[in-house]
Amino acid sequence: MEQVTEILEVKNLSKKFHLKKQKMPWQKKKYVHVLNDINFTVNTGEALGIVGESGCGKSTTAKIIMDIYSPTSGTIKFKSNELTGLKGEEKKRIRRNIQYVFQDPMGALNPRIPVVEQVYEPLIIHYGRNIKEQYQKAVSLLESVGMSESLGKMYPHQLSGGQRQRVVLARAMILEPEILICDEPISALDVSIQSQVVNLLMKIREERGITLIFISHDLSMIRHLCDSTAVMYMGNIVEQGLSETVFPNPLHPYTKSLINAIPIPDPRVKREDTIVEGEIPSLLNPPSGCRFHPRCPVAMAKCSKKVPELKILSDGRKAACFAVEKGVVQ
Amino acid sequence: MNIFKPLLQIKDLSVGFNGAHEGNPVVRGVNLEVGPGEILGIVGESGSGKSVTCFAVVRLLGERGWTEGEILFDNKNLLECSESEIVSVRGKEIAMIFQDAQSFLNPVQSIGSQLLEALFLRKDLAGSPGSVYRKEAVKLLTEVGIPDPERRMGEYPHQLSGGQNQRAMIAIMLAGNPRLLIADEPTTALDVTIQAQIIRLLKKICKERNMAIIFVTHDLGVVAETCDRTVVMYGGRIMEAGPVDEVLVKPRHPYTFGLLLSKPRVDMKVKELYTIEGVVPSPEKLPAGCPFFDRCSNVIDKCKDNPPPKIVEGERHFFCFNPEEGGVVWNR
Repeated sequence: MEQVTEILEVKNLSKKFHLKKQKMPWQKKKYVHVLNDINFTVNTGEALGIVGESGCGKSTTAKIIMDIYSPTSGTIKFKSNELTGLKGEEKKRIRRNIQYVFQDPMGALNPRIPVVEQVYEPLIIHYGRNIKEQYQKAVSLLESVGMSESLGKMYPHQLSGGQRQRVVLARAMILEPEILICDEPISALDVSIQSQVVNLLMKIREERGITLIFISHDLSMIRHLCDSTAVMYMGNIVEQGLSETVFPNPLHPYTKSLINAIPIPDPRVKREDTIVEGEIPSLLNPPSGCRFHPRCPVAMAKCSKKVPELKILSDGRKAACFAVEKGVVQ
Repeated sequence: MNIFKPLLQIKDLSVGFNGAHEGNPVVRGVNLEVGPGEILGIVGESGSGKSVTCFAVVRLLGERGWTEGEILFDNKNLLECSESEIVSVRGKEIAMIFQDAQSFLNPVQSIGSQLLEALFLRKDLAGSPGSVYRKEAVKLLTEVGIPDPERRMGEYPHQLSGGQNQRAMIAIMLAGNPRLLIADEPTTALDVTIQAQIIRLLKKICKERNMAIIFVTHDLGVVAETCDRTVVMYGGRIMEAGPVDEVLVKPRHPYTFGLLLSKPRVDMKVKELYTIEGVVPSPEKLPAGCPFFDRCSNVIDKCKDNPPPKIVEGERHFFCFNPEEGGVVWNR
């Protein structure tokens, strides 16, 4: 059996944003808490899916790992290196192992530069200029994502959405990173193009043994692509475990309602009508205790007072819910 | 069984736009019908002509759009109506809701005043005191499931969440008591739990008011949950149409087949996703034959140049020379 090694460890990660500048010293500072004490680890070669509705903090988590935002508190470890607080050459050396794919490829590409030049640009930044070799490398990488050399000489606006996303993927892959973070990489694409990009992602994973963190609101795609899944709600992880334990039998009431809300393209499947009522409360004024309790069908008195912790259950998954702990939910 | 009497009948509709590609219609030869109390789903990817078809029904294509064919609403051809006649149809007979409620609503008017504006057009309420209108407005907001409607009347779109705005827009559209509601991707911008709520609301409205609904979407899952019948469009043409129970269970057109299998399912593990190679064609490059021919796995010689024949099987029909035989096998 292969040895399982942790490649990324996120510990007690919290993030709050200032809401308003403090104009006078006696004015109270206002914060919005976007992430509360997030913990997870990713093993080498694993694909982790982070799923949740808008405003749950899934993109913020990824952006903190990428050093786009700095965390308010908490640590992120890549192998044995602490990522927060790195500087200079060392930061460049370690950071090159984690790459990011954005949702909107048009926004991620420079409209005035042929795409092939954008693919090898990271090489220039990290290893210095050697255009001939770097160009060859970029072209062969573009070919491996299904783009010909002539397409590489085009500008982003001349390509289709799926082709642009392939370019962004190639650019993220050119530094041979160990972790690839994909933030909703397919939600802007048409259904028939989505499956092309997803199959490409799976091929890349298989060939290179890359570790994948896949962020999406599309649960069916997460189930298809990821070994393990973390479900987030209003800045907390509410359930986490192997995809094949979480999806067939979700425990947390939120995961349950989320999976039940996904339409299934098969009219023969009849499901129980457990649509969760209400809407996601504002982060500015979050409910006390468990943040899901105002919408939860099995909420107890305790839920509005105390925040449930993420606890390991007998089948290896984690869930943060008092009802699950008590065995109310099976 | 009573005889199905369609409320809206589209016959041989072609739509194009003036300009560089004048001779290339973006919608070609579309036939469909929808009756009261029925939800018809139009599915397709971007550029398939699904929204353009809907805009043609309410004549919102603008000056550059041209149309051919017939759109019969209650046996009146909407394409031949004068502008003043179509104004009396819009909002009162046919209402339309859109994907982005935030930009549909006026940001500087309260929800209440926008709702009242729509109610003032109602002939049966004309001359009644203001309190009657207010009561009607509150009733509508309650019907679409907005909590605390009295207070919401005075609030502005930015104070409401995306789902609430969507509900408010539906309320405004219901104000004129329309007989046909066209919903153009009404749930695409929403979170999944809110999407499920809106779908349930539309189904309820359809049943209670015996209204016809055309539901435009790109998600076959939403169609399966919502619609009675569906029309699958691609490249401006109808590929397959029929009852949801038949089309989505045993698709006959290779495009429906591919579309269905290229999305994973949340309730089962799918080994590998089916891929439709290539990209959606742009309208100026559509072939004379089947627009799907260059991406189709069942393609034969005559597909490119000859329009495929209409094959009717029970209540469903499809356009293909070489249709799929077996049903969908998940879990391949």
